[in-house]
Amino acid sequence: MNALTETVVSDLRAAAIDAGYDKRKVLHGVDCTAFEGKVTALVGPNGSGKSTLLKVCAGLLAGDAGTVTVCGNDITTMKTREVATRLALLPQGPATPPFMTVRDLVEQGRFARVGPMGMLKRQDHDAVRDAIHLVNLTEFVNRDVDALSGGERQRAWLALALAQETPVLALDEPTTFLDIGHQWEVLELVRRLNDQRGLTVLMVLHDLNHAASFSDHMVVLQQGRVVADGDPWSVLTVDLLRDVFGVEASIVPDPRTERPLIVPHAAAQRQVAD
Amino acid sequence: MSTGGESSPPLPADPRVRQTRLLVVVLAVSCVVMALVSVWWGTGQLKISPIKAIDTLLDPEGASRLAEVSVDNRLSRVTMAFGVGIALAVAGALLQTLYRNPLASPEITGVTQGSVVAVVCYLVWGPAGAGDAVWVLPVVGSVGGLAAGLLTWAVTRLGGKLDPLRLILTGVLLAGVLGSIVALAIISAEALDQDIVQWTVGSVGTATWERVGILFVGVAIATPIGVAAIPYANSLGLGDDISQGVGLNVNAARSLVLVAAAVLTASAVSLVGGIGFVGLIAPHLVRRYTGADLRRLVPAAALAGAFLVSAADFASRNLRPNDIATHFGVSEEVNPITLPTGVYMAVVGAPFFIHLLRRLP
Repeated sequence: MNALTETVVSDLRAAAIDAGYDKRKVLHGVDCTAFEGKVTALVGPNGSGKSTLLKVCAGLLAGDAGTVTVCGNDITTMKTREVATRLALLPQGPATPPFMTVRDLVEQGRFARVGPMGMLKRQDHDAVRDAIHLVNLTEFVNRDVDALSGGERQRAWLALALAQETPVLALDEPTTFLDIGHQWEVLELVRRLNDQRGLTVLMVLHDLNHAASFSDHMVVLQQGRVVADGDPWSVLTVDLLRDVFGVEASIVPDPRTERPLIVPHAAAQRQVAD
Repeated sequence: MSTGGESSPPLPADPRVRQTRLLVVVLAVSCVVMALVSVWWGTGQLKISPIKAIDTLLDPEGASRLAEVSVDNRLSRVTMAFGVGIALAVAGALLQTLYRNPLASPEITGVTQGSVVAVVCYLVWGPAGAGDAVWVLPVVGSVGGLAAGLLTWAVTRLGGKLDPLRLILTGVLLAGVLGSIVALAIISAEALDQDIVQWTVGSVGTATWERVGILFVGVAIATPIGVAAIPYANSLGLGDDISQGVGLNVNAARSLVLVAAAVLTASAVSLVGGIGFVGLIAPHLVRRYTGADLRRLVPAAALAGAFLVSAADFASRNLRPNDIATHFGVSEEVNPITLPTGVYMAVVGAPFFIHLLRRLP
């Protein structure tokens, strides 16, 4: 199929995905696309299958049915190394061993490019340097990752993913455990990478206002099914917030960006099936 | 895609590269000093006191005899200690990273106990005899060790994913079972055989140049596998999701690192018995200077391991219970026995282990 395609489309498409762990089904026929050069946010209440879907999209978890294509290639037919040159993943809450510096960590992102002995070549060192610069950690390059603050640590992990130099970036709740300033710092960085480098971004977000502010496209999951899909204004409705997220809220335009801004009033009356 | 190198400023040099170089030099010098001291100084079982050594050196005939004894016995012992220390320390460094656990050591793969069981069973129940070729026990030990390692791997793999916690639990379980087989073998042996007891704690006292040669054959096989495993182990140290995300086939990579650690461990323990702690301690001694990256950690840990085992062997020859007892004037009651190297390793190792536990979060 892509033999005829001259230009490779840098997107991530998951179609009709069924997936789960052992006998527990988590996803039921999910379609999800991260469009080329766009930021796509994956949202949904706790246990809706967001992280599972991201894992399937990144090839970490094999789906029971459906297909995932990264840049036009079926992920199941690719070697792990090939996937790693197209899609970089930042999982949720990763941990570093003690005495590992930012540089040591980011160099690991070059695994798929370096030779079998793991020797870094000129272009690998350049990629590592660029990635560390992009996340603004050049000064901290010799610091141990576990001695950094939460925001700095998350940026170090993001640099590892950037050092992979992939067209697609998948992030699982990149703002977890960060205070509000660092949350915005990380999200602005993701936005800037998308703007400047044209990265296709698929990220799981917990905070709907973050999703509304930083994404071009939103996919809403509820109990393993997609219940809404589109730009933030079309996805975020009072009904959706009540039915899916269980909150009564108003949606107003952000006075600065004109993007939707959710102002919750009260928890909605919970349905039995939660 | 790439923004080009010109936009990003150069990174400051890594101080740990310099620290590692310095540490490697210091450790290498320490090993050489330890070797010289071990060969030329000390009493040991051969009763060459420093004064007698000088006396003998002054006598032309005695000098050649002393040289023979020192070089043939003590230098082969030191070389054996170095080889064992290197192999176990490298295995320990790989496993601590692989298991993402500071308490990991070669013992938890089951290889050490497997090797000890095979040798002890062979000595007690097998067709062992004085006429056995020098390579028989090492081969028996290696086969037993690798079989136990494979069993740990297979049992974990059959149960599902090769994840670190499950591997550790399987290894600990297997080591427990094998340990009781050793106890059974020792109890059923007709006479309490000192060789067997020494084997269970590990001793380099049995070193001869032939055996050193066999050890280095094992190390020569294991080293390339160990070196090849370094980048994989480094990546696996970040967790499975990250490893797969950067392009590793996680199960295959983990198997490669385990094979490297198993072959290293087997090559050492099949010659000297179940010497412990060195694989645990050596990487910890150097990690804060080299950092966690195995490309720097492994060479430094190897030298630290070599130093530790040769120092333990030096202690075992010069700090015998009988010497200590003599010092306090009770020599008559103490059996003039040389304790195996592993005992001295444990004397240093156990407090260090407690120190490690205290520092864990």
